[in-house]
Amino acid sequence: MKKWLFLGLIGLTSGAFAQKNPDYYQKQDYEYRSVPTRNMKSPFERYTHYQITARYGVALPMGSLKDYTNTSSKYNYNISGEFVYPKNYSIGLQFSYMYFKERSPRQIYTFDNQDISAIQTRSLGATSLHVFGKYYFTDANAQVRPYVMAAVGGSAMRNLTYYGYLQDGQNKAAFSGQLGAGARFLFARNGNFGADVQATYFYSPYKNSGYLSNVAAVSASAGLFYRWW
Amino acid sequence: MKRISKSLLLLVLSAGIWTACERDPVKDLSPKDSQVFITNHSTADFTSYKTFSIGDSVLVVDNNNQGRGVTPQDLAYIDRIVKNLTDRGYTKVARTAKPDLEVTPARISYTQSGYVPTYNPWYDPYWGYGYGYGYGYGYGYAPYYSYYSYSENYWYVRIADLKNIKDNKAEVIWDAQIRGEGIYDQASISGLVDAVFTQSAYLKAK
Repeated sequence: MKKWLFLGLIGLTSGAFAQKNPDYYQKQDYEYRSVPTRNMKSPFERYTHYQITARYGVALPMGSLKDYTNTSSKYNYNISGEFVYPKNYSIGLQFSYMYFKERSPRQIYTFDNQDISAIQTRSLGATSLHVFGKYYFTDANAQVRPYVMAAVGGSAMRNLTYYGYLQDGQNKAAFSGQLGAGARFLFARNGNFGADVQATYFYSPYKNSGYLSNVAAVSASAGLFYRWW
Repeated sequence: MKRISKSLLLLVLSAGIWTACERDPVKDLSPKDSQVFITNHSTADFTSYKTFSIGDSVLVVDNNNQGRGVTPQDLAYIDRIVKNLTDRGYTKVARTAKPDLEVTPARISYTQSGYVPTYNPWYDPYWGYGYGYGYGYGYGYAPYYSYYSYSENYWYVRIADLKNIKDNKAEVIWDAQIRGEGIYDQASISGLVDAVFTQSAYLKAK
């Protein structure tokens, strides 16, 4: 009985001591217990989170590509994954495909002493892999996040010119880059899903003598994204 | 091991997606639109020739085999060439009458098939600009093979100059190829032959 009384006294004194000296507990422990979760910022604002986006769009050729295929491209897609930092930027990797095709009515093409009467089909398929960076104008967890982006990397150019079924083609890798502006819209506050719209300018110094001296295009695309942390 | 197979699967998958997404630009070409007429000519003065001779059968070249053909299409083909040359002012004579020109109509078919490694442009040594050379150079692996079957069937006609033979050789002054789909359709042969003459306005005796 005496023993229990003694132990109780020690407990009481140590409790009183702790109340007078808050540092008695581990600091981390103290914070963990006392900071109310409801006042915490969203994890999307506190940590780097991940985002994958799939977009589909249309593109208009420019410059030498416009002389080659003067039609808009309806077959244009882009898949990207990125690290979104709590600050206003993100870095990621994107895979995109762009395809242009134009067919001319039958006419005679003359090369020195050769005449070819044919229906010419001109096409360019560009498969690109880019590293990109985005700068966002609003907070990491804002429902609307407008941004500007820049991307650099390489493109596999599949530049095929056909006379009927006869192919005069070239497959080649070239440097390429993109500049763009867009916005990300969350479907719900703190949600994981959202929509993404983007307008970009694509440029590559790819050359194919007689057909193309560079590849440039503007495109508009829209898609969906998913984010998680 | 598990790690390797996983990345390999990813590689195969991405290559698969890539090739599946590539478009075929001439998939929607109609047979008539696929026809191509190619003519080559020398700088010879075509009005300096007056007579020609032509065989009564078509030279048939099938890969490395040669023969003669006299199918109804072959005969229609010869007749139409004769008609066009006659319309242009040339006179058909027998081979023994020392003609100025020798006309050789031919039907050529060539088939080849095999397996080729799929081209991977990421490992192209001609990387955009001059630099970046050698990057991934030793990696030339091509793990995907695709089967190809390549065949060409076309009408061919050649005109050789017998008037100015040098060193026992006759120079070819004009030739034409008719390629594409439906070229062996008998009803369309006259139109096909006319097309190669239409684009060779210089080919006339006067």
